[in-house]
Amino acid sequence: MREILEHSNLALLYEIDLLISALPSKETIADELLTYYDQIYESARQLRQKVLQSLSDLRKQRKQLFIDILSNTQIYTREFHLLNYRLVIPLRRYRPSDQLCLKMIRWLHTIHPQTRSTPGAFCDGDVGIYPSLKYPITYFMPTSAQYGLLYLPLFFHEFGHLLYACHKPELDELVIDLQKELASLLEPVVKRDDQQAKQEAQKRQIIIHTWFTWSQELFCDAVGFQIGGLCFVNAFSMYLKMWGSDRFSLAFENLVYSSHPVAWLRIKLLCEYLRQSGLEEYAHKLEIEWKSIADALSIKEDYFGFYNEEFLTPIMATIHDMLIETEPYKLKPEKLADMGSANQNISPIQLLNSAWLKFHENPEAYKNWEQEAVSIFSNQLE
Amino acid sequence: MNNQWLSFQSFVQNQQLLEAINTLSIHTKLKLVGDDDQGRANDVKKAEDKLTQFIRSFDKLLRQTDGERPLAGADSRLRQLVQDFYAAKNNNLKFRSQLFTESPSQVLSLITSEKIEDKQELIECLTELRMLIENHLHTDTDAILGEF
Repeated sequence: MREILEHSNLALLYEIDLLISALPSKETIADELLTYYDQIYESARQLRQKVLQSLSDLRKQRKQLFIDILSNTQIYTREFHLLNYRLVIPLRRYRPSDQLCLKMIRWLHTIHPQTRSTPGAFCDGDVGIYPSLKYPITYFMPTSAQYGLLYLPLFFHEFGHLLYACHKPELDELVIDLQKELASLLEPVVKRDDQQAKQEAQKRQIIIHTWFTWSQELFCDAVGFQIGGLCFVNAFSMYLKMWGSDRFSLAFENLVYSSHPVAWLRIKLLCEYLRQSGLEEYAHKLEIEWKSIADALSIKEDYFGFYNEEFLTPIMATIHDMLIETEPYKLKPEKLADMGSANQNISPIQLLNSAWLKFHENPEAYKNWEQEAVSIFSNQLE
Repeated sequence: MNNQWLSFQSFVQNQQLLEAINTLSIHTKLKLVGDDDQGRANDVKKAEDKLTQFIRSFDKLLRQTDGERPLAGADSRLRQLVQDFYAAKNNNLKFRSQLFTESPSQVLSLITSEKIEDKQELIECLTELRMLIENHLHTDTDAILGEF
């Protein structure tokens, strides 16, 4: 066992050195990636130190330590794979066209005090994030979306997961209170003690458990809306509405312990935020749009007990408290109204909202406008 | 929009937990054979803090599961770990330490104890906790790193 462990650690050490030497030189990457680079380099260096510690532990010649060293070797191998397979990709893939997304991520992190010094980068993939405070933040964005403005507001939802991680203890407490409130709403008026009552109690528990993760997703949608306003709602709705019937309804079995609420329910809550912001007309239009697609698919709105109208008030109150706790950026409404053209010195949020206005005005002419806007915006954020 | 955030957070949390278990286990074993292992002192302190924090919050969750109340405050991965813990508790051929025969909070007093028999029991608890976490980590590892 000693020899197996020694050779495995020496092999890992060699691989770490190869990975470090495979990192691009700092001169060839964007300024926005420099702090990300530094953290990845530091993670690789610390991992190297830990492997050296394992080799040092092996030299103590204590057989009773082998099981611990074996476990450590496995931990470090997985950590190496994480760096090697996932976290170095934003550095290795860097090309000048990445700058639009990188600038947007940097702006997003810089404007929030909690994340000002947290590096962020991105890779190709379905919209997502790796939100752990131990590593620099990796976002995911589909390839085509990286080159335009329309879907960049989806970063704001993912950023919500990072805000949640920064305020986890306080937000978890708020969600626990919500779970208790939903549990009391689901409690039957008449209590029985038979088999059916037991099954129903079990179903209620599943619903309450599922709401723990759903609450975080709805909070992230609210963060997206607070930061981006209409551009987030537009991006969200356009991104999800044509995926298929599962965005409108799921069977009970598929809702059990699911990570995300059905998109139609999320749209319902976004409409509530729109109404609270005085955008009644837009909320109505959005509801009609989703209902029309659902009708065409012969889908009736049904969340199989996972949501009912009584839930709305406590959910909205909890999300409101979560937003107060985390304080996501909010553009002043008067600035949002003044979107003008991309030629002015406008904020990223104004630009993204302008993009959706231009797209809705004339989708076919949008491409030319976007190319010019992206170019001006990139220079503006230099 | 994907749910990798949950797998990633769970993966990182469990990796850190395993590292803390191993640090404390190595240190305790070395102390039992007269090696004071001073070079690891800072890491041992961090490992003790990490384990203490985990055990306190895990114990709080376990206490919630008495009766028929829903398990509030746990995501799907943590809830699975609670279920894995109860399954292990019922497997007294494999899991026999105080962690499973008594309660996780029992480990807290073992961490700070200087008695030799407590240190030996601590090693048993850490070994079994490591088994539990390693089995649990598999799902997150697959989700984040895939399979070869």
